[in-house]
Amino acid sequence: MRSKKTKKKASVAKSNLKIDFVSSNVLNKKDEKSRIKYILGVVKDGTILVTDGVMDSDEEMNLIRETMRRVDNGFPGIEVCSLKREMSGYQRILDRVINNRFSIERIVNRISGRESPKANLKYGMTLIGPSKFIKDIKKNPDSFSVFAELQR
Amino acid sequence: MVFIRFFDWLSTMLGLRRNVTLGIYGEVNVGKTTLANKISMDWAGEKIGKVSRIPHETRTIQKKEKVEMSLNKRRKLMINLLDMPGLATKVDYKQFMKYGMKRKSAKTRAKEATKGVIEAIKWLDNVDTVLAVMDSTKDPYTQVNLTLLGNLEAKGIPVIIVANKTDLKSAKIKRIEEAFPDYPVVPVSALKGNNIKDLYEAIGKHAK
Repeated sequence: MRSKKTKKKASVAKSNLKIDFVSSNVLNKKDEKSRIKYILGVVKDGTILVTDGVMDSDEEMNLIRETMRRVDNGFPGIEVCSLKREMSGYQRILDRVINNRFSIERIVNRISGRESPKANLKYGMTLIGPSKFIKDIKKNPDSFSVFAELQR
Repeated sequence: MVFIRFFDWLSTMLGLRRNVTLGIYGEVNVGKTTLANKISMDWAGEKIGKVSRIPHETRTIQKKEKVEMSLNKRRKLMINLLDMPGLATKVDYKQFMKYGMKRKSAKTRAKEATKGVIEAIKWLDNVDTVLAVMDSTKDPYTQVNLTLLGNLEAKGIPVIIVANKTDLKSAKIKRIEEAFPDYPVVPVSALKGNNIKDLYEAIGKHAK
């Protein structure tokens, strides 16, 4: 009888899905390396993470690379989707200047083996979740739909 | 031998021949190896890799070096062709078991596939031009495609989008053209060889 109860509890726990809404302020305090480490730590734990910011494409590629390093039998990987907010003319120029600075810093740091620079997330929204729950993401330029399936 | 080397050097110096490292990138099972095989067969007379319906068949980078592509009577491209493992954000060994693979083999394949993705990303710093292959029967607006194109744009690497599998009835080339209007899109069927000449023209035009 006791074991049946435990079994029931365990199956309920398995079907729970946690979604964390994290402010970009929290992620902006971290450098790229620790930001990716933090995100994957949360997602590997079975949590979907939503934040009000967007990584640049280089950081996104590094996120994919780090995900591959962490894939194991219980963690097949992630699903990620982001929506960038359109920037006005001067914001775009400013963004390009900042981006160039970080690109140069990144190259220098990579060569010298120093810590990666702190680049803020861009305006927008990102969802990152474990692929064992998120079965599909249908994306459009202005919206996306997430199809999740809980483990039985 | 010395004369041939001198002629090669002179051709490059005079701009009659360009050396280009051409990377074939894209998601899993979009037909990258089929395309690499077609290019390699057309210009070097041999295939580059094995094709399979099981995802992640290409798990290491397949290379075909010094493939000479004639753009016209005078101009030539000397291509180092790199067929990359498919990019993905997930690799689930259980997916391979659906194709009849045993658990142990499936796990080994998954492990190798993750290494392949890492290797493909690493090589983004070493390619001159990229053929971004997309399956024209599927939705192209995926995060992997967006990340790949954004990354290449930031690095200043020229990209040609190859809308593959146009021989299939469900192919929708317009969908790719509308999703990525800032890039040259060449519809082809790598399997049947349809429109492949247009791709070679695009390579000649955009490759740096």
